[in-house]
Amino acid sequence: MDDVFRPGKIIWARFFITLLFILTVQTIQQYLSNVYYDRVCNCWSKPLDNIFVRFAIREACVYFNILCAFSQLKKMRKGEFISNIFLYISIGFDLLFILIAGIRYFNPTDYRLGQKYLEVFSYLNSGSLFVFCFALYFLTNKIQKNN
Amino acid sequence: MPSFKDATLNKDQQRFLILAFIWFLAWQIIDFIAPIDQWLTDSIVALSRAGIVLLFNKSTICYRIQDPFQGYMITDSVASFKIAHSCNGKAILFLFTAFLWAIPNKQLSKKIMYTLSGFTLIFFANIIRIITLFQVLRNTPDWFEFLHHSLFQWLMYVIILFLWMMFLDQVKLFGRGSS
Repeated sequence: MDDVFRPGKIIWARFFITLLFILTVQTIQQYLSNVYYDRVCNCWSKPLDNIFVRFAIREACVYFNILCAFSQLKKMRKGEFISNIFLYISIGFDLLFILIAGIRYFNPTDYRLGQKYLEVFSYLNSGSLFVFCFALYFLTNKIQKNN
Repeated sequence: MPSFKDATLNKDQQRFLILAFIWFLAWQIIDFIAPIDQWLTDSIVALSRAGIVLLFNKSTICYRIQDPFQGYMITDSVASFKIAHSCNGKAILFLFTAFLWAIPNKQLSKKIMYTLSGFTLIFFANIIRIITLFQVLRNTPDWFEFLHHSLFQWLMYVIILFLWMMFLDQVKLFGRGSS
């Protein structure tokens, strides 16, 4: 695979393709939810009727996306710094996600908890952290120029 | 686990990460105290419906899905479309401002200007996204999922990245530096 960055030149295609790839995984996960969720009876059908199966699918999507973004960020110049940052932020968010999921398991009717659960999941699953860390590259450049 | 051994953080970088985390936490606290979700979703639903009338001359009916609140259902004779709090773009706005305000050595006035213009741009881009998605659902529903979860999200990130880069003077608009 090519580097995300060539010396002095940014390969934007790599960034956009990675982002599109992450978002495609998200679309597939959402598609599964739509197919197996019965909006008439407001219930899940098999095999997604089990809460742990749904959680496992979400976690699988999250880590698939993290690995994909991490490997691409690592190829950047200063990639070691940025990819590490990305990995630590992602793992931090995932721990928060697991914590909220755990609380939500015992209190499933709390609407605000449900919203936070979705919000944290969207940070992990939607590629927004990847974009955030990608932008760090420019910031790092800026800081080094200023120094 | 990776280590920071080969990639040490200088003071500015450390400061940036700590500040970004503090801003993000502050947003979460504000979100907990103030009804940001409700305000954002209500405004987006109202403006999207107005946009649908204005652009496509289609009137819609709006239902509030209650007990527990799950969002709004916008419907006409052809399609039904649910707008929940998760569609209001709050998460992106949080991330956008956290990055902006954590950047060191930037003027306060510039940060305020970019925050306000970024908020406005993201807010209206989201409304355009919702209006377009409604029209897609009416005409070509097979494309809805791809556009909803891939293409439009991708475009939103491009907008944010562009704003961040403008803020960092990495891109020039109208032949001028953004500083």
